Amino acid sequence: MTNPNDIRGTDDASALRRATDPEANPVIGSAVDDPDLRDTEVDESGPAIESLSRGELLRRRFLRNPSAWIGMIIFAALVLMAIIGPMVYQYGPFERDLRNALTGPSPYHWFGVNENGLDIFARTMQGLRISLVIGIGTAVLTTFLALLVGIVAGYVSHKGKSGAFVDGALVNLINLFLVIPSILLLMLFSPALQQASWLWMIPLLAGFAWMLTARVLRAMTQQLVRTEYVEAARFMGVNPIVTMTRHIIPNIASWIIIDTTLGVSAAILGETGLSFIGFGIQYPQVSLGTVLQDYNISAPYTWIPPAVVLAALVISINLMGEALRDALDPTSGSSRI
Amino acid sequence: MIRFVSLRVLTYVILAFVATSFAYLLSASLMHPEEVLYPPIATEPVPAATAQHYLDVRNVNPDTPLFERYANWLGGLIRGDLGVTTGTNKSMVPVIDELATRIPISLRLVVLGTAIGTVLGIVLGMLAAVRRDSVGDRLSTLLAFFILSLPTPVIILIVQQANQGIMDLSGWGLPAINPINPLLEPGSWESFKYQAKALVMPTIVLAVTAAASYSRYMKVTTLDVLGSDYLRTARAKGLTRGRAMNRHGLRMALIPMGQYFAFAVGGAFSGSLFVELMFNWQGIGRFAISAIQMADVNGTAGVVLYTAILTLLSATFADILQGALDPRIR
Repeated sequence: MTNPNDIRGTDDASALRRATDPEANPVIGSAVDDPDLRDTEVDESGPAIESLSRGELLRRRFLRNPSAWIGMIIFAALVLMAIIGPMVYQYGPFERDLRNALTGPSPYHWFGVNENGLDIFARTMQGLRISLVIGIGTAVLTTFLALLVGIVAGYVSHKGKSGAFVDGALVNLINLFLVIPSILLLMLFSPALQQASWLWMIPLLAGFAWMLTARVLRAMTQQLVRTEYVEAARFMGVNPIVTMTRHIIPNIASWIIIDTTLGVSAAILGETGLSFIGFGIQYPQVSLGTVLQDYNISAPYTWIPPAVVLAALVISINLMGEALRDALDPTSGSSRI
Repeated sequence: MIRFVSLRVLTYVILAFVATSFAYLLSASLMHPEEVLYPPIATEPVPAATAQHYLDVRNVNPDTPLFERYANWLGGLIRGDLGVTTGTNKSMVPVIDELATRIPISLRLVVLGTAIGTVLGIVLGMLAAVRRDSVGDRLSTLLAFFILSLPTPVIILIVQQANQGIMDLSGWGLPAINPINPLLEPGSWESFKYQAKALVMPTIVLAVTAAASYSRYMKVTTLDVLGSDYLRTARAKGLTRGRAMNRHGLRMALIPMGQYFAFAVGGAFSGSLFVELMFNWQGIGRFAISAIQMADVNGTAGVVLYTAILTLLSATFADILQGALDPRIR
């Protein structure tokens, strides 16, 4: 595997070759590049061979994918709506207009009013804000936790008995969390923490979501620890933390980015589910799950707008995540799900 | 194989025990069922002796050390007694009775939904992998992508709204709430027919969500198998594509699915929680929500025990299946 941090391309290599004296360094400086020794002049005016850095290559592959564009446009539109919507709209999420209770969309109430006289557009936009913050915050925190546990466990797992013990404990902990449905544990913790701040939802959701990612990261680290360059770094006495940040994380970065992206949608789904049954975001705040909670089957406009916004949000994030996966791992097309 | 399965079962039993103990300790330390004795819930002061007795009978006395309460609960667990409901429900119903009336309601939902969803997902995923890039493959992949992007409540709402729309148009629809019609005589044919009709929509919801994720996993594992050497050998031996797939491919593709199935029942539980809430079924999921809402320590522990046993059983089933499928274990 080439070093992903080495962003020098073939242009740099040919420049180096040209600058080096062939007599002094016959390996780098090639006699072919020496104009005196050439038999025929090579036409230099033709189109230059383009060389791409890794980042540029990824960007191009990502942008070539139409689903990436669809995802980005929907996501950007939703973010703009979440920012601007509550600023310009005349009703707040808790303002009651009981005279118009349970009426459909109108020029005054864009998405209609639910049976408690609350404006659905105002609530949906406010809920979108909260859901976005929670989704992104949870995904970042989840990745951080998973990275910490997964890499440490993968790194120490080959180091004698204590390492194997730590590793085994992690695997059993993951299995334990798979036995108890995490929704039950979230329901236990959430009411206690909600009294403090709605932002507690982020560490809470992250605390029950990092296990599976950690397991995958552990397996990847275990493979990387056996490579020559990590072994070499170890024998040179490089600090383990430096080894991890310099040699291991860059090699699994692509997977981390994909997982964080898809983690945003998973966190949003978890948060809305929890809010829907009344254990998530509570009164002074409103989330998309709380808006959905006020559904009324005989009045479809009470639940379709928040459901569509929620679905558009999750689908756009998933589209971006899958496009990113295709860009970072071109071979994944063979077994893409 | 017997050694393999028994070793696995032992691990699961330990895991289930640890999980339930963990849940008990957690709920006992986080919940405050004694608050029912103090204002604002209690309107008049309760005498100290009465209060102590009230708490001791329910094994939720905060003056008793946590681990002593846990030991009491554990002693009851060995005798098959899960304690009584606590919290704002003062009626002191034994948790085991509560579970006994609710488990059949939940179980038919979870078992039927998971079974149909698994079979549907495996068949769809395999077909999608074999007929790669066909219209059916694209359609099923797209559908699975959309279903997995929707939270369970929204899927339930779509199904309920569709039913409502049909009912408005044609006047005939499925019952949207209650698994049992209390007006019909229990055991009669009419009552049975109502129960069967009431089961349709919740089963659709659970089966569709399960099938969406199973078909994705099955597609990946089948694609792995399709590119494998032994399948090429089977083809080279002269077997047709279909025969090679049936005899060698399917078996190997199902092995990783078994491990996935083992822990997917937990997911089915949280799915059935939404279903029970929105279709108004008085099952375990409903009990879990109310138990946590009213600070019912013993009830919560009972629910976790139920999910742990359910996971244990399905994991054992998956292991037996794996033992039967995988030639390396026999």
